[in-house]
Amino acid sequence: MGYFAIIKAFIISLFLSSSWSYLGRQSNGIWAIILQLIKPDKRDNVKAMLVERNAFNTNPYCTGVMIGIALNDENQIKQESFVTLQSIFGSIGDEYIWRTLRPTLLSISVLVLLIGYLWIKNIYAVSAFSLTPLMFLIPYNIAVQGIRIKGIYQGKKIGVMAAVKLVEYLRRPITKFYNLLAFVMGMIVVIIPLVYLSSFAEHIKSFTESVAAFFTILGVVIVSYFLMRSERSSSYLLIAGLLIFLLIKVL
Amino acid sequence: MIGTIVLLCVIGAIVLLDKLAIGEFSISQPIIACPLIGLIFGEFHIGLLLGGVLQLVWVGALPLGAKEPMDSQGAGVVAIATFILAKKSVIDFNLEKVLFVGLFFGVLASIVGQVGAQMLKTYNNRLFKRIDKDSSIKRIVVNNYLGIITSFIKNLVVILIFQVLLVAVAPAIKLLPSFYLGELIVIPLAIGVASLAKIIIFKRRILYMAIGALTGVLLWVILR
Repeated sequence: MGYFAIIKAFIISLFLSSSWSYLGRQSNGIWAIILQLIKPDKRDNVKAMLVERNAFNTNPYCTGVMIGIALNDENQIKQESFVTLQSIFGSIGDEYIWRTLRPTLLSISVLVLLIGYLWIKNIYAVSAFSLTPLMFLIPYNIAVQGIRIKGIYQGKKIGVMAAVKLVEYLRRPITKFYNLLAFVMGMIVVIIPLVYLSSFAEHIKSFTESVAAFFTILGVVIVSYFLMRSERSSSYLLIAGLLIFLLIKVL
Repeated sequence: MIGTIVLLCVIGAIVLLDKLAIGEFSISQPIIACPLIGLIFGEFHIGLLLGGVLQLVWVGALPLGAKEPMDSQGAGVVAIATFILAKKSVIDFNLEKVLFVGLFFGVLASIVGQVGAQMLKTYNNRLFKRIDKDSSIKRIVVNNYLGIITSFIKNLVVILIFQVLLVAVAPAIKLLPSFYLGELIVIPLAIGVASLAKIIIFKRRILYMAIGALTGVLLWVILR
């Protein structure tokens, strides 16, 4: 598979979830991608599968390898292998990318940004900390789009073995990412009150007031943790928090 | 002002296409989208602040399976769009008060955006069903790309709702009480940490969290 073909497959695969629907999920996307990439005389093999199509849904970045596998043996694209692989990558891909890699990189970016505010103490100051969004964007895309493009290449080259390799690659670093995420979170817990105390609230002068402010913020974190029963709670908690804040200020 | 609203809606809707419709490069995440849109309108640093503050609030909201998470990306875009429009349209501009409105509209947009995404995915069922009638390659491919247009329209509508709402409430913004910026940003940051804690404590990583906290204290001592 030449470089041009890989890049073409990669670009087309970017539209996997364009028409995501509750009935078909990513079905439209995956079949549109495969039909565009497969040789014209083999398209009937794919269209035959469309008659018995099921809802397809998996981690978007891991579909590269499935597309590659489909291109590896165009005569025998099996619906069963798609069903099996989508479950595997839906599980391990989501765990690796959504639950660990993305939160970890995002947390590091936010942490560096907050440290930047601690140092600079002026939100308008142009500094190296302005580049913190790139600390997330660049490594994240190298990792996830790399999985997508490498999956296409290896899937086309070695078939199903590429899926086995990818699962092994995704499984290994998950624990390390959780450890790193916990470490970063620990730092953020301390940094937030510091940002509050040292950067903006010049009206806090005494040590006692500083300690009181520190534990008040820690208290808000703990109360929010226990009130956060589902992810939806984040929005409602923030609405409540902003309204209570406003009320206190009015009174 | 209408020109600014149109520009903000179109740019915001394009950025939000990254959420699902094209590529998923994560440029729609608040920490990227807010400074990016801010940069276009000359408000990079406020965008960076808003993005950083909002980013962790929904860090636990994951697009797993068919579950529709809160629209954190929409929240970021609406928050910075609100700030930009308010700066141009509010008389007696006050940074903290306008940021408050931006944050508040942003969090409301996370809920409206979630409902919008559910409606969009329900509407897209039609695109899926069309293949039953016509399963030509052209039809399948065109149906998939039509999803980009439906996503764009949904994003546009969500941003527009809050832009119109801002125009309606703009005269009342000056009535808000005064406060420090630090006081305001602590609330979303604290909720963000609680969101992170949900992931970490579930995975029993208390020790690493404690080491991180100690490192933070050490940093505090150094900075003092």
